[in-house]
Amino acid sequence: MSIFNAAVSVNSGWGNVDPAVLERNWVARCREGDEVAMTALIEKHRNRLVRTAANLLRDRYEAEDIAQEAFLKAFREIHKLREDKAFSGYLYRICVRLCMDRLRLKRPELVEFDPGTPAKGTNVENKVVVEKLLAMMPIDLRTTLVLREMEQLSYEEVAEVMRVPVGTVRSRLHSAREKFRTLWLEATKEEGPWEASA
Amino acid sequence: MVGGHQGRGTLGGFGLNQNLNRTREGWEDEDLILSEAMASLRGAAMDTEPSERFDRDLIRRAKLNYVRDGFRYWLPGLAGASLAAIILVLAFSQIDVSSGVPNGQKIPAVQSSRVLPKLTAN
Repeated sequence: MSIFNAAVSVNSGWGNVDPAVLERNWVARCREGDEVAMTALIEKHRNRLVRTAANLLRDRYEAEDIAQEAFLKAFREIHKLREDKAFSGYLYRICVRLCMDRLRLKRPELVEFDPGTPAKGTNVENKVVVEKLLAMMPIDLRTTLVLREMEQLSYEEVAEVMRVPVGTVRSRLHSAREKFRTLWLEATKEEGPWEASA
Repeated sequence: MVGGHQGRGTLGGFGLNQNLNRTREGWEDEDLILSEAMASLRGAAMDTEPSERFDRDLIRRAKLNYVRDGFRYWLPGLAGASLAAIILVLAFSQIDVSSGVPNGQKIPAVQSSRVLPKLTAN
């Protein structure tokens, strides 16, 4: 089962109705401007959308803003959606696209890495280091890496979200891993690698 | 990191094996570094949850968008109707002015008011 169609329990009061059927119903009602259906869709997808945006942008508040933008854009263009069941993927794709646009708009940061930073190897410091390393990577590679490694999407799902062939995802992922490994090695060579899950 | 070229330089026997072992160690080191880097990347994943205001703000923004979109949709029609109304009002007011002359009366033609000097017979 695709991650986009994963069953999510939502307190809808519809009993044992298949979540996919339920979502199709919400999308159809949302198209007519039904606020209840809109709220149900928001409730179902908000957590995942905010988390993905946060991982891509590395900023919680910006992530919420982008997630809201994605919902608004999806609701506004919901009449363009041919299949109601495709809403999850559609919404997710909009969110990732908006994140990439936001990253492109940001001034490229010239991050001077300080090898002394990760010395203690706490989780917070690990996050800071990873954030800095990700900022040094090209946006396409960064997005591919985050979707695959942090969001645990399959190659096919990454390809669908980024609208590129699976082969491109594979090659980008290879380049992204190599780039990240090199940067990570540079960042840690002074102090030695630390426990990632510390 | 592929450090297999520092052996004794012989192609056969112990030297080659040593080189291969070192190469393998180099690859294993690279794999180890990569897996550590990926583990650190996964460990840095943010587990963020939306704030309590998220739904409320979003619904408010969605409603505002609906109103704005509706206004945008009707704006050209409203503008056209307003313009047509103004033109109609002006046209009616013109008709009203011209129809202010009582019925049956002719509007006097403009008479020549040339002033001629009076000729006196002396």
